[in-house]
Parts: sequence; structure tokens; C-alpha cells
Amino acid sequence: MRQTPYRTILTVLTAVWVLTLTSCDAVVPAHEEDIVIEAWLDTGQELPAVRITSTNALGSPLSASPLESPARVELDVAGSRIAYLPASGDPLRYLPQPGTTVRPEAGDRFELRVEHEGRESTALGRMPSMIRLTDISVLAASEPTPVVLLDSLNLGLDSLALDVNATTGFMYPVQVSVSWEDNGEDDWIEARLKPSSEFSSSLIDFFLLPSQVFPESSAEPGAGGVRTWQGVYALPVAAADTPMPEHSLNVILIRGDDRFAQFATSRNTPERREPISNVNGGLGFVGGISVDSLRVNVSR
Amino acid sequence: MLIRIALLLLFAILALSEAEAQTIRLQFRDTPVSEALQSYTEESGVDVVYSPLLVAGLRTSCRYRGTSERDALICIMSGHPFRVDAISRRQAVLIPLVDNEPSDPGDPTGILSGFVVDGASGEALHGAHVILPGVGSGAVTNEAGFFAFPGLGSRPVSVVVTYLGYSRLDTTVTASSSFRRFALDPATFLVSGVVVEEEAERRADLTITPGLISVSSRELQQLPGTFGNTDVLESLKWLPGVQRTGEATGGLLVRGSGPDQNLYLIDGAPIYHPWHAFSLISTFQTDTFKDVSLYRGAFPAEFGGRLSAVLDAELRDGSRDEPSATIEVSGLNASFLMESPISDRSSFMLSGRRSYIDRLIGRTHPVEDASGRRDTLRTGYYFYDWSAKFSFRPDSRSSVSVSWYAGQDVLDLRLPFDLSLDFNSWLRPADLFFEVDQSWGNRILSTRYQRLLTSRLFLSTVLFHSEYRARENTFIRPSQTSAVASDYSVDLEDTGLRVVLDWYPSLAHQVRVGAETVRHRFGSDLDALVDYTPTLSEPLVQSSQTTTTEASVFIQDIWTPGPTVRVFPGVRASVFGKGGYVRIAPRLSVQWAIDPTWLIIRGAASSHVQYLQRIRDRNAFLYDLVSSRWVPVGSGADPARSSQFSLGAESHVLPRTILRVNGFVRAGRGTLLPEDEFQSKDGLLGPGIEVATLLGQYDSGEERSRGIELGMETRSDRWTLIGSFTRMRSENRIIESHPQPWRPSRFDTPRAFTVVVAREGNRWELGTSIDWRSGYPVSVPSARYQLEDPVSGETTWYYHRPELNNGRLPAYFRMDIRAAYRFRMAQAQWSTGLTIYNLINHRNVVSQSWDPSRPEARPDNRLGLPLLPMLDVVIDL
Repeated sequence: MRQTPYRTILTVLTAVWVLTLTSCDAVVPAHEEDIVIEAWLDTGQELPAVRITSTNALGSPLSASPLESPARVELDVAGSRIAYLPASGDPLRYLPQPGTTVRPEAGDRFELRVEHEGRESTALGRMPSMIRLTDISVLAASEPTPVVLLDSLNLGLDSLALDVNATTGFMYPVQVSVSWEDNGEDDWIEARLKPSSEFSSSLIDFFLLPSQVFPESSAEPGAGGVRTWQGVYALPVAAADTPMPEHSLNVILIRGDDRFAQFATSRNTPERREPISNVNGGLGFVGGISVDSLRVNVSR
Repeated sequence: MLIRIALLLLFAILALSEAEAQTIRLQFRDTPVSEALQSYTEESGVDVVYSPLLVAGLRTSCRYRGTSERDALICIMSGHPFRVDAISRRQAVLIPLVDNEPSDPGDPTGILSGFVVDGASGEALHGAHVILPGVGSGAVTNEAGFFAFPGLGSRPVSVVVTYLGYSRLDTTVTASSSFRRFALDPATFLVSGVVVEEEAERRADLTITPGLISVSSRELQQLPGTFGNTDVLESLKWLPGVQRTGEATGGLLVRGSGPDQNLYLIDGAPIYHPWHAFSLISTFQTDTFKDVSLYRGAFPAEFGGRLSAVLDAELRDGSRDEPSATIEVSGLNASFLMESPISDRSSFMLSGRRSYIDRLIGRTHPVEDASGRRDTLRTGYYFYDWSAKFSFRPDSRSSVSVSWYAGQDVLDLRLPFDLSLDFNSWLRPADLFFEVDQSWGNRILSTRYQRLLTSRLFLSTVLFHSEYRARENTFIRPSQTSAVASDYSVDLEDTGLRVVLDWYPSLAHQVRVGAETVRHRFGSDLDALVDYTPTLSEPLVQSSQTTTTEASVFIQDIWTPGPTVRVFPGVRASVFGKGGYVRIAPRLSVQWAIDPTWLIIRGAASSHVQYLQRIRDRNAFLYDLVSSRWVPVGSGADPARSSQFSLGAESHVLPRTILRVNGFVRAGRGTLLPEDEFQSKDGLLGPGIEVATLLGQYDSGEERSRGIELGMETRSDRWTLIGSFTRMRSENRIIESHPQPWRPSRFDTPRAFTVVVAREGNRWELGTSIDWRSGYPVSVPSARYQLEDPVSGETTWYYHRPELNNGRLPAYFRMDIRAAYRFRMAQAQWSTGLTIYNLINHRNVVSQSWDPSRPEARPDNRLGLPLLPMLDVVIDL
């Protein structure tokens, strides 16, 4: 008997229907509680608190979750083993046992161990040499300039998404030069210019340089064993004739190793990713850093 | 709901198609052709001119019901070696398709050799199947359409010649003669109302190379393309195991491979970026090619340099019969194709295509504001292709052809930053603007010389030069005190020579041996400058140049130990200059016809090597946006290698239907995977363009895929139905420092279903296509957590994604329809068509993003293209 095309077509379409309805590839990952450990050991400073939280299930409120039971926390640094104890009044933090006087020095290696409900999480690192700001100079524009307000370039042909989602405004660009003592080592620097919070806007920062993570050796060397980095931040204003508002600027330099650099360059786009962690068996970051900062007032 | 709409539309198509008039009725069963022709003349009133001697002894079985006298005559002569030509409205002539007078003296050893050509244009048909049923032997024609069967003696042998998209040819010739010329009539699929009642078609063809999908241009044109365009790569996605990366854009994925693991050849020359319009349509314009071969996985030893698949396309030689021209206007572009004989021995083909959106909206826009300030905005985008081929036959034993292809995309924009879909807001002088001047394209020059050295030796040489060049110039003025400028370029040049010798030592063996050498030249330059303020700038100037040579030798045998078994052993040895790598890649395919109608089994095992990999800077917005950057191994990366095993079965048990099932397992090593999957372009300047720097963003990885493909192909007088279902998994992992867990690859598609239904009437051409597949993998968060800044103490929420590609986008579904109407007007054949992309306006989710600072945890979906209607007009002069 001759096979009619109608019958064949109906057979195929029925198969489409069956396959479409019976196939389901969507996956909702189950939430397994993970431990999140944060600690920042600063060269030459007292040992910091260790912040320990657990991850929140997707449907949970946006508030940091303490561990359901206390963890056992130990830090090995500078040849000493320091036990950490839960801080009274703050369920998220653990403090060095009373009487601890250890201050990590440049080159010291450390290991933080956290044991919680039979699972151990560890993080290793090395203390960088101390960083010291030596000079800051600030140069602000004399008048506001028009600027595009844009946080990223995001065009999509598939969606016919041609809107750049940009608007225009006004700003004073402020150029800052920061110098520090060079340690001659192969470290990384994170430099930040943080104006008073009311002036911060990622919409303007996209084409400027309010912060940067870079190898210390790539910074411009100067006389007297210093290196210099220059950045630019924006001071948004309402109109073309608005005078530059007086404000404070916090200049921050952080020195760390390459793992710190990976963390620092991966933490600024939370809508796309989580930071790279150095905690085995958990999340977060335990870093050895050296920080120096200076707050200055900027006026016309 | 979607299925209901699909069914309704289908029935509407059926009803519309059946509404055509019917006048001529013929029905013959094993009737002498001479009698059938007489009945035909009585029924139609058309006299048929033919030689009674030539049709003596021929019989026909066919049934016709329709209005076309020509189609009715083709029905009678279907399967016989004649072509139908109309002399006048009331008179037709039958022209023999087989040249019965050998052009050379006969071979005393009894060799049957010759060429298979298109009966209308005279073009050689590559990949045609020549079968000797009585001998139990068969062959596939080479690039020149040549075949040879030695050792047949002097007895007459029956020959069957088939080629997709052409009518089957049955004839009997004397084996002691050489140089036969078999001409196939291309009319079969376009004939309406014909039912050829023959069972011989229901036989599997042992001559097919395992893994090969060979499709003629005629057949490809019946498959839906993109937005009314006929597009080779878009059409191929309807085949099992083949898909594209994007919704309507992106590279070709074959059996779970990456899009850069396919080799694209035009007349033997590689093409590195075969896409236009941001990968919306390909450079492979269907009607400029005479045939297209897609090798999936186990490609023959003559091909190398890629891990997954080979697309080998041959430009049309140009008609040797009569001049012709076609003009086509679609929603995206306009094109023409002309071909003509120049002399008895030469012909040419010339085609061109250009998009015209820049002509519609204008490329430059002078603007002026109220204060009299003037500016000129630019909105230029276009792409074009030129293809040309000159073919010359100095004598009956040799041919020379020169092929040229040039294609380019050009994007030229100067627009205010705050652009939107409100076009009126653009037309004003802009202080803050961006300029983009980008171009990318390919050029190919290929010269092929083919000569029949003896009746057993056929020489084919290809000398080619292929260039890929891309330029990206960008200037951005985000504020009056800052600016960003970038000038980036990528060049890749291949110059190569391939020499292939086909040797036919006996009926049991056909041997292809050859050598190939290619000189690769890679270049890239970047000159970028970011002016943060008038006194603070950050320059990045880099240049990267590399030259290396890749040389290969190969041997491939087609061994026919018996009438039901065919074995394809082969090996390819290659050496790559940069790094001094030497690799041997063996291949083996076996076919066994358990029953030619019921079941034929095909199995293959093969190994492949890839010395070039395509990578991209994953940090910078300012460069490497549209360019394909191919880099050679040896700069921190070893050659990638893959092995594939496949086993399949084919059955012709249903009339006019081919059923196929294939299973495959594929494993690769040395492919480059991003070191940080979550890193995407988010800064102005990245680490640069040095090859070692780019490779630093990737790690060496492993990949594996396995799957099963079901395919069905039904063709009748008017109907074409192609359906496929693929069940497949594709995974990869980084192994550079320590092996990571396997994870679904970026385009892993566990299930994919496609179906195309087309109906060709006398005047109406109707079709619909359905594309359904699993959503692509995405990395779905499982939890959220908060981190504190080490200095300020500010907290930030992050989503935790414990595994890469642990979730999926919603399943993809799209239905397109097309209707075209053919008519004659002003002494030309016209066809006007309407294609509706995404008929039910189902907005597929093409990507997702997650904002962890929002209280509710849900993704923001980015939706794909909406319903888009496109008109096209084709004029055949």
C-alpha cells in the first residue's frame, strides 16, 4: 500500500508533540549549605576577626546567616597556633583568644583552619611587606563636563537589543596621583579612589579609572624608590554651571599576592559571577594584605 | 497549543495545494515506451520526436495526473537515459543522455570509465553514484565527475547512475569502451503529478562514504534558509546531529563539537570565517554551488586539520548549454547569478550578492541643531559576496578551472551614545558619541587542474590562496575630557598546493593518494589609547606575526571485497612546522549491506588532528569583538586531537523513504577551554593580543560526546519531508593543572528535533519547519552569600554557582513558514515568496543573568527574535 504523505506528516508531528511534552531538561540545583570564611591579615597589625557565615538558600531573606553551631577555628602564623573563639554579641565573628599578641610580619606564611560539623575548611597565604603611602596629589577640572552615563556596553543581535541604555549628565573629572614605597617584590596592588559615597556612580566610572588592580612592577617608578599610580574619579553634578562640591576622598592602597589579585578583580561584577576563592572546602577569602589609606578633603 | 497551530497550518497547506487543476491522466505498468509515447501524444496533443531504435526494448511504469505536458512526458521517460526538450508548444524531443560513441578507442582490458554530468548545464557532478548491479560494484565520482571500473571484460553491463536532486539513469553499455559521459536530468523533483512506479529506488547505496551527507544545490534550495535566503549552512542544520550555536546566528555544531572544529572549503581552499551579518547568514550562498558535501566525524584521509567535520563545497562550473541569469531580492540582500558557455570548451559563472539596508536607511546623515551646529552621523552596514569560476577543457582528458571568491562585511557607525529605538532622537549633533569602523572578510583564489593520465589514473591538483582579514577601528567620546581609540587588525593567509592521484587498479580497489602543503601566516596588530583626562592616558601597542608550514600526505583505499561489503581504510600523516609536531591519523570505515532494501550497516573509526585553534581575548571591549583570531599550536598549546567511533544503519523499507539511525562516541584532547568561564569582556583594555597572552586565558582541556541520531527523509512527486531527532550529550573539562569534573559543554543539547515539510506545486511552493531543542546549559546558582570589603566593611551579595553549566535555559521552539508563487512575466520565470520567521512569535530565552542584590532570586531573561516576515523575489531570465 502506498504511504500517503499526510500519514507520514501526522506521524512526525505526533512524534514532535510526544518529544516536546515528555522532555524536560530544566534543573534546579539543590541548596547545600556551604561555609563562607573571610579574614584579612594585615602586615604588622593585630590579628583580625574571622567572619564565618553560611550560604543562604535562594528563597531566604537577604541577611547574613551565622552557623547553626559554633565552629572550631585555628590560625597558624609566625610559628604560633592561635585559637579563635566566637565573639560575644556578634554570631558572625570569631576573635583570637584573649592575650594574643602575635602580629604577622612580611614573609610570614599562614594557614587558617575551620572545622564545622565534621568538615574542615582551610586557607593558606603569605604576608606581603608593609605598604606606605608617600604622596598624593589631586587635580580637579575647573568646570563640569558633559558625560555619558553608562555602566557597560551590552548589545545583542539575537534580541535586537540595540538600546545602549545610556543617558547624559555632568561631572567634574578629578585626577589623583598616588605614590608609595616600592618593596621590589613581585606583588600586586589594588588602588582605590573612594569619594564620599553620595558621589559614587558606576554609570560614570566605566570610562574612567577610579580603581585598578595591577602588578606593582608595572607602576611608574620614581625617584627615591617610589612607584606612582594615577587614577581618575568622577564627581557627578546636576548641571553645567554647578560648582564643584567640597568632598572627602579616601585613597586606599592594598598590597597582596596573585591570589589576592584574582579575588580583587573578580569581586566587582556580582551580577555575573562570584569572587575567586582561596578557601578549600568553603567559600570566601582569607588574605594576607597590607593596607594604607588616607582621607583628604577636596575643594575648588 | 503550538502543536495545534502547526497542525492547522499544515492542513491549510494541504488544502491549498490540492486545489490545483488536473487535465492529463496517464497510467502505465511495464508498458513499452513507444506505446506509452503514443498514448501520451493522444492524450496531450504533443508530438514527440525520438529515435525508435533508441527506445526499442525500453519499458515504463508510471502514473501521472496533472496539467503539464512536459511533466507527463518526463514521467514516461523517468529512469531512462533521455532528456526532454521542448521544441515548440506542441512538439517535444527526446535527447539521449548517454554518449554511446566513445570519444577514445576502447580499452582492451575492459575498463568502463567516464564522467557524470548535469544534463542541462554540462557541469561535472561530484559525488554521483555509478552502480553496476550485475557486477555488484559501485563507485562515487570524484571532483571531476570521473569514475572507473577496470576488469569488466568486453561484455555489456547495466549501469545505474544516481545523484540527489537528479533523475536516476538506467542504461546498458559495453564495458570495452571507455570515456562514457552520463548526463543526469535535473528535473525529477520539480516535476509535478508524477508517480514513477519502480521498486529499484528502494535500495541502499553502498558507495556512500560513511558520515558523508552529500546535498546538491538543487536539493538545498528546497530546504528553508534564514529570512528568505537560501543558505547552505542554515539548510544543513535540518540534518541529524547538526545545529547552529545561536538562535539565528552562530557557527555550525556537528555532533557536539565546537564551532571552530569544522573545516570549510570552497573549491578546495579553506575559508576561516564563513559568516556575514554577525553570523546571521553564511558566505555559502546556495545557488552558487553545484554540490555540497558535509562529512561528519569520519571524514576521509584527504581531509585534515579539523577535529569534527568538513564542509566541501564546489562552485558551479557555469552552464555549457546556454546562457542563463537569475536575480533574487530577499529581505536582507539582493543577488544575481549568471552563467554561460564561452566556447565549446569553456564556460563561466559569476555571482554577486549585497545587502541593501544601508541603501534604505542611508549611510550618512548630515544633521544640524538649532544653534546651527553641524555634524554627520553614520549608520552604514553592508556585506557583499563575489563568486566567479572559469572552466576550460583543453581536451577530453583534462580540465582547468579558476575559482575566485571575495566577501566582506563593513560596519561604519557614528552615533550619539544615548541612542535608542527612537530614531528621531539620533538626528542631532552629538558631543558624546561613538564611532565604529569595522570590516571583516575572506578572499579565495583557487586553480584546479585535472587530467585523466590513463584510464586507471586520474590526477587532480589544487593551488590555492586564502585570506581572512578583519579590521576594528573604534573611537569613543564618553565625555568632553576623555576619549578611547583603538585600531585592531587580524590577518590570516594560507597558500597551499594539494596533489591527488586516483588509481583504479581493479574492481576491488580504488586508491586515492595525495600530498598537501600549506603555508600559514598569522598577523595581528593593536594600537589603542585610552585618554582618561587630557593629561592621563593609557596606551597599548602590540604586534604579533607568525609564519609556519603544515604538510601532509595521505592514502585512502576503497576496497570492495564482495558485493555487499565495502571497506574504506586510510591514513593521514602530517607535520606542523611550529613546534615540529608530527601526527599520524588513521581512519577506517566499513559498510555492509545485509539487505540492500531492508538494512545496511555503516561503521567508522577515525582520528583527527587540529593545529589551529580559534581564541578570543576575554577581557577587552575595545578590540577582538567581531574578528576570528586563529592561532597556531606551539605557543603554549599542543595540537588538539580527537577520535570518533560511529555505527549506523539505513533502511529503504518504506517507499520513497530513507530511514537512518546513527550512534557515535567522540573524545578529544588538547582543545582550549577558558581558564575562567565567568570572565567576559567587561573592561576597555585587556592584557593584549600576544598569542602567549591570549593562550594564558585558556587551559588545555578534554571533551567527549556521544549520541544517537534518527533521521527520516521522504520525497515524493511533490512532497519533501525531512525529520531528525538527536539524543546527545557533550561534555568537557580542564585538565591542565589537575583534572576537573566533567561538565556539560557550552552548547550541549541532549535533545533536538527538527522537521521540514515542503510541497512543490505547479505554481505554489509551500513549506514549514519546526526547530525544537533542549535549552543550552547555564550555570544556575544554588545559594547566596555575603562578603565584606577588607577596608570599608561594605557588604556585597553574590550568587554561588557550585558547578558550571548545571542548569539549562528553557527549551527552544520555533516554527517558520514559507509560501512562494511562481509565474511567467515579461519572458522570465518569476517567483515571489513570503517567509515568516517565528510564526507564533514564541520569544525564546537566549540567555539569563542574575542580580544577587534583588531580594527575590530569579533570573532576568534575554529574549530572542520575535515574529519577522520577509519577502523575496527571484527572477530567472
